[in-house]
Amino acid sequence: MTQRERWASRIGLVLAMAGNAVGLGNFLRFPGQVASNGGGAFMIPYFVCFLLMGIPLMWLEWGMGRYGGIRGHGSTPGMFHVMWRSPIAKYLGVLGLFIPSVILFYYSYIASWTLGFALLSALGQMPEVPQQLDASRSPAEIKQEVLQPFDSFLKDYVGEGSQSSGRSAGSLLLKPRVFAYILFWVVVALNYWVLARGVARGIELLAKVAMPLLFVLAIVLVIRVLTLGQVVPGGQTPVDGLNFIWEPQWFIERGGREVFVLLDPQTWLAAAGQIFFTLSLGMGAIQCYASYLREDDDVMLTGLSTTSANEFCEVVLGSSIAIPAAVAFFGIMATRDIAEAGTFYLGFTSMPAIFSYIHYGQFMAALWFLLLFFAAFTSTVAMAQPFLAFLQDEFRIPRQNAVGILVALWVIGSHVCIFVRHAWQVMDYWSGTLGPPLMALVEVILVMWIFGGQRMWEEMHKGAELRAPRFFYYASRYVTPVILIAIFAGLVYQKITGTNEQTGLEGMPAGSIGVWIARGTLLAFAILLLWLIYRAFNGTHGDERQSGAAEAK
Amino acid sequence: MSWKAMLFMAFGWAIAWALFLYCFARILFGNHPKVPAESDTHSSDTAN
Repeated sequence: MTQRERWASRIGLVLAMAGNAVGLGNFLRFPGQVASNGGGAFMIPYFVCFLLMGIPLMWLEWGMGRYGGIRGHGSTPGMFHVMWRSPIAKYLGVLGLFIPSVILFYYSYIASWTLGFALLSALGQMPEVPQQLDASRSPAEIKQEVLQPFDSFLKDYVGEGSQSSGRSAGSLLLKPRVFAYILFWVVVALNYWVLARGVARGIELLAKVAMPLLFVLAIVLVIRVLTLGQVVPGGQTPVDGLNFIWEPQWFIERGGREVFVLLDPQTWLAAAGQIFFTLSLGMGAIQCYASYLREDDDVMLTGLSTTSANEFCEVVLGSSIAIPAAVAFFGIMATRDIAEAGTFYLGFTSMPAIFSYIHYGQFMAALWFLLLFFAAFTSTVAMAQPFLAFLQDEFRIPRQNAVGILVALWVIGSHVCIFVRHAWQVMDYWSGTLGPPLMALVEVILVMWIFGGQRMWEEMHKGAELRAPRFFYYASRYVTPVILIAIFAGLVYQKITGTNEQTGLEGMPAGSIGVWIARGTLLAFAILLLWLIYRAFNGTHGDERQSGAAEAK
Repeated sequence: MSWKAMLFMAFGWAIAWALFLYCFARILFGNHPKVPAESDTHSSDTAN
């Protein structure tokens, strides 16, 4: 077995794992979810899901990753293969390649928007807001007069078409700005550079630079937002914004009727979904990073540390920027509309509009988008790594060549997202919403029931610097699978009844050609991955794998 | 800010801060003792 790469330092590993987890979800999705799902009351299901599902799954994925890594497998097909000697195990592992790679297709494009908006903000190229705000404006007026120019700007940027532009808002093909397209390639080039340098000299180095910068940027923005004071005469303050986000609302409106938030399945689904999204669980990326650990490296304390860094970014920093700023400028009613309009409306429409009203707003807006860019960049690198590890470990392809193959596939997938209307929203649904709970369900059953719960528990505690309370063993063996089945069933139910959340810029008409092109792309990619797995484990390479696994055993 | 909002904010922030400080203090300043292996009382959790 050839020597696999290793992390150079523990702090580098923690920062890289935190970079994997900290993304747009922390600063945009979380505050929006809290505001739309009961405010402070949402934190109860959120922390219950964190405790019963987030932490157990995270430790499980770390343990699984290290177990696979020391046996020469950095991706889930190989890991599943050595943990369950069944012919189908490796094929189930396709999820750990499919999900991160598809997320990479569209997430890298979204990362390029953040870089583009940072540059445009710094250069003063964002829309202007002519009027001064006053507290008498209604939410509808704010939306029309203040936010609309920024909404149109984003839609023009990505070529979605808008009322203000001459472009069609309904055609199949999108026409993004040339600048947006160039920036996408810049993001690909940056990722290529980092990935080609390897785990320690590329990914770890990036994390050591980007993560401290991200923390500093976030803290600067939090301080700036919370010290805004009363910016609109007669209006509200950022403290009112904190009040809005944290005030528990025990009864909220769902579909025209009032429901008790703790008994509302949609709220629990939102909380569980947020935990998945924010911790990057069920994606194959944590396992892959953990596969570069040594046999006696700690996974318990280190794993918990990365989770804690993510939670700090989300609960403390994420809740203190976008929503408090929106309340200070637009009031609570308009902020509620903004939060319900989704992640992108909050980040790319509301925030630049807010910054255009404050001193050094251009600079602050550039910092905001730079913060989002660092968060997204460290995540794209993490999403790229499982497929790279698969090519390197299972086909013995040198890293440079593996990066080339990955980029070729990535660029094809991304072009579908860039140019086909609704494509990235479809990909997001299958890989970002439905995929992770399914993957997590497969791995928790495989690890805790087939491989053996006690065996994995001991495996996780090898070299550990923290002994987890036995509670987590029972949680991951009995409670986590039940929660995952409930989440998955809930998502399928929402899909069938058509009540799933819209995550994109616009709704997705069920029969549109763009939707079918995206689904076709996903299907073709899934088939390609299955074929590659078949080749890896049944051809010449497969023989090597079998003997390698036997040796390891 | 209402006391209820403050209470819930304190709840969320306390968990996030406590976890963060505990973990990073142990990683940065701890002496990293490994936990002893659990006594081998389990039996047949085998897959392969």
